[in-house]
Order: sequence, then structure tokens, then C-alpha cells
Amino acid sequence: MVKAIYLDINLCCGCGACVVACMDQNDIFPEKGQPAYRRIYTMEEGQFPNTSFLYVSAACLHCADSPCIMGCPTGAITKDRQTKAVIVNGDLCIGCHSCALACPFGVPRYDLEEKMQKCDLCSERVEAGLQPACVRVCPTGALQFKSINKVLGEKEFKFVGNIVSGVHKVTNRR
Amino acid sequence: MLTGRKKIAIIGNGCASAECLKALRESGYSGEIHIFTDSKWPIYNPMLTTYYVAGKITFDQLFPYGKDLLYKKYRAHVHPASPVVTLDHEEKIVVNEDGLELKYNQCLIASGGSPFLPPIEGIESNRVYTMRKVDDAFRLREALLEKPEKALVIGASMIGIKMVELFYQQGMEVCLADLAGHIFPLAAHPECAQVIENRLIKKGIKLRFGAALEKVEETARGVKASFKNSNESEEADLLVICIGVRANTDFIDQKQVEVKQGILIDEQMRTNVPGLYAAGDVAQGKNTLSGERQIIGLWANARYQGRTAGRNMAGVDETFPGNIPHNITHFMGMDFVGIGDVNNYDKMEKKFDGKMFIQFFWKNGFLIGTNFIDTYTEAGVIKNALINSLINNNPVYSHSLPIVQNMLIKKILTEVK
Repeated sequence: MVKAIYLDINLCCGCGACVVACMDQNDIFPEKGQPAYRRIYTMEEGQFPNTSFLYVSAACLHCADSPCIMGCPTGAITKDRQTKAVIVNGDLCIGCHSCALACPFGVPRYDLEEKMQKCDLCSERVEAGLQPACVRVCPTGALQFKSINKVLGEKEFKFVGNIVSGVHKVTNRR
Repeated sequence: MLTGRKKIAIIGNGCASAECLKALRESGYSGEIHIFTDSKWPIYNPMLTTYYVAGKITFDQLFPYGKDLLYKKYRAHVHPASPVVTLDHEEKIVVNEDGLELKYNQCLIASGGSPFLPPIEGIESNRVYTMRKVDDAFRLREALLEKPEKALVIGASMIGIKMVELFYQQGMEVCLADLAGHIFPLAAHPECAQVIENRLIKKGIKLRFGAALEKVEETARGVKASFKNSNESEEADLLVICIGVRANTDFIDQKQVEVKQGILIDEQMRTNVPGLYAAGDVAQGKNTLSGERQIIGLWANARYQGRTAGRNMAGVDETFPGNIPHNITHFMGMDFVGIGDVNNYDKMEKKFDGKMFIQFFWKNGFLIGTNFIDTYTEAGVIKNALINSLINNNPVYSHSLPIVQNMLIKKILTEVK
């Protein structure tokens, strides 16, 4: 069963625990110029008094049809057959930045040797039967590691639930 | 003549052919596949030749699909080192120089392009180099063994600048000349080009723009190039010409197959002739920005086109809506990104902090192009947003896009404003 990291945007509070856990797992030292794989974005919407504020914890989305794989001139980026994770082979990467222009989410970053660096879906941990580091540490349960079908099913269930409770509210009011 | 089972002919042996082959088999096509090519090498990436000459990659790394694993895995018959001489699309027969004739059911033309050499005096000199094929890389590598001191590069293109970088890193004196008024004439706005040019001059690169090459002469040192309306000629040990690529269409009957700069194709990579497809640098697909058909000679574009052709040839109905010109090049310690159209705008926004340079070009409220220097992080986000907005006729950020993407787009747009 193919699993993916799923973010419940309503639960993310932007605490950054996932970012730190990711750096720890992958031995990333920002002060040495190594880029973080996971980043927290803040999103402001609207104008006072009708405003909303969201936090989004994001890393590589491991797209189904990954533009970075098609854009890579050397074949350094591949899709793992089992985990479906998008993996970079540093030995083949020439630092040409083609993947940066291909990625719709601004994920690719480069280390001091100009090798592309990004989330590999914690392959090491997942192979050992563990959860990705970011998911394990998330205090609100916003990040989850689940089968894609399950996530979609739950989303649908929630959506239908919202409609049903909406209908109830309207009929009760009558 | 080879007859019998269902047959597909693929002319050319680049990434478009490879993706077509993969797509055919992955979509369930079980007939024969024959690949015709003039090259004796496995599938290589022309862009990597400069990296090989510079010693940044090994010889084997020139071949991203491996040596011949792909043909075995996807069961293809390869007919190498023999160019196709005739393509009879009425009788559906392809003939190569070795005399091999194949009757096909469907055919993909993915014969790519060749470097363009201007028809001027002395151009055939063996001190004149081009850079696209494996043999070009061998020739230049050999020339570098003689420790040349000065190189002249004609053509301020993406490949031209990689040549400049290569010679600069060898410690050579370099002069870069182009007929255009500034560097990257198609991809960069003059203001952006100015920033790049200033940095190149600081590194000691000699730049000559508005210079039309008129004559090449061999001298004791190497080669001398003269330019139109100029008394100042340029002498160097070697001369590299990178002024563009022309589609390889010699074997095509242009009375029957619609050809302009390349073979005209629709969104399913079909030519005007039934059963005949084209993809890659030989094909003129849709430019979603202008609506015109244009050769967009990019690795990823060729792969998408080849894949789309393969799927359609196998009976899967798929379209590739087109592409826009886009380039990213990383050279001499800087990054340049050019996306879309940077000339026909009605509004321009700019931000420059001495190092990082961003330019946005708008027309009728639509983002149509951008230039970036030394900031690549949002380049992909903006490129995809631009293409989406064109395809869906929407503004660049909209609620149909994923939330992270929207936010990144908004962030960079407001930052520049």
C-alpha cells in the first residue's frame, strides 16, 4: 500500500517541530549552508475584520507524474518503485537547477556542492517500519502518514458529514 | 523488406524517442518497434556535452537512459549509424542509408536538430567548432589538450554562455559576440541582460554585441573572425558557433508533410499525414503564450511530446496542451531564469537589490513573462502559475490552485510590487 504524508491544514499551528525533527533526522546544519527540506509557510487572507490566518508545513509532495523527473537532464531524479517517493541521486546531479524551474511548489534547494536536496519521504525510517520524523513529532496530529486511499476516503467522509450537519441545522431552524 | 506484424518506426534516437518507446510499451502496445538513427551512440543529452568537455561528468553520464538497457527492457530493434534517406508516408515505407526498408503502420519523427552554421566564407575551417553531438564534444576536448589561450564564442545563447564558462574555467581569454544587442536576446529583457553583462565584464570576458560575423580566416595562431561594418577583427585559437539549431527535416517530402521551421503538430503530436507523428526539437508544437506553433527546444518538452505521441500511437487518447519558452542556466556563479515573453508587455515590475534581480512582465492583466537573476527558488512556482493561467484563462493565482502554490505566488508578486 502506498503511503503519503498528509497535512490537515486546520490542525497545523506552525510550531515548527516537524522542521526541527526533519533537520535532526537528515543531519541538516543550516549554518553550514545546508537547506531544510521542510518549511513552514504562513498564509494571511482577507482584510480586517474578516481575516484568516493559516500555517502550512510543506516539503516535497512526491507528485504522481513528477515534472522534476521529466526536467532532469541526467536521470538523477527517479521514482522509487515501492514507496513512490521521488529520490535524488547526488552522484548524478550536476546542479543545473532544471528541477527548480520544473517544480510547481518551489521545493528543490541545493547544498554547497550544488547537489539538489529534498525530502525523500524518510525512506530509511519507513523501510524500518517507522513513521517519517516530521509525522512522528507533530503535536497536533496535523501531519499524518497514511495510505492515499484512506486519506481520500476520510476527506470524503468529512465532506459528506459537513453537508449532512448543514442540512440538519437548516431543517432544525425550520 | 521487413513486413508482417504491426510495426512502428521511430526516426531519431533522443529523449523524445525514448519516451515514445516507453509510453508505447507501458500503454500496452505489443507489436514491433524499430528505431532508426544516424548516431552510433546510445541516447544522449546534447546539453550535457559542455559538462563532459569541462570534466564535470564522466563519459557514461552523457547517456541518461543508460547504454542499451532501455531497448532491451522495452523490446526495440535499433538500426544505428545510418541516417534515414527516404520516408514514403503514402506507402508507409522508411529507408535508411544501409538500404534497410521497413513498412510501418505508424511512424514518429524525432530526428532532432543540428547546429546552424551561417553560410559565410571560411566557415568550414577545422578551427570552427559547434557543440551538440557526442563527436562535437570529442573534437573540443582534443582541441583543449593543445592548451589554447583564447576562444571566440559566437552566439550569446544558453549554450554560448556555457561555452564561455568552460573556457573561463580553463583559464582562457574569452570573447563572446552576437548579432543581437544584448546577451540572451530571446530570454532576457535588456535591463536584465545589462546586469549579467556587467558581471561578465567584471570577470574579464570581452563582449561584442551587434556584431555580424562576415568572414573566418585561418591564421598562424588559429582563426581570425571579421565582422560586418567593423574594422576590428577578433583573433583566437578556436572559434565556437552556437547561434541556434535547425530541425533535421531533409528526408521529409515537404510537399506532403507540413513543415515550417519544424514539422507542424497538433496537441496529440500528429502531423497532417495520418499515422505520422513528430516530437522533440524537430517538431513545432503549440506555444500556449502566443497561440502560434513554435519549436521549443527543451529536454523536458521533447520528453513530454515523445510520451504523448507514444500514448496516442498505442491508442490512448491524450493531449499535451503546449509549452512556453523557459530557461534556467547556472553559470559563472550566477543563476539566470527567463520565462515566457519579455518583450511584448504593457506593464513591467522590477526589483533589484544589487545581487538578486526580479522582473515581471504583464499584458492585459496577465503575467506573460519573468526574468530572475540569482533567485531560482520561486521560478518553478511562477512558471507553472503562468502556464496554468494561460490554459485556464485565469489570473495567476486563483482558488483552483493548491494553497501552498497560491501563497508562494502571492508572496513573490507582492514583494516585487
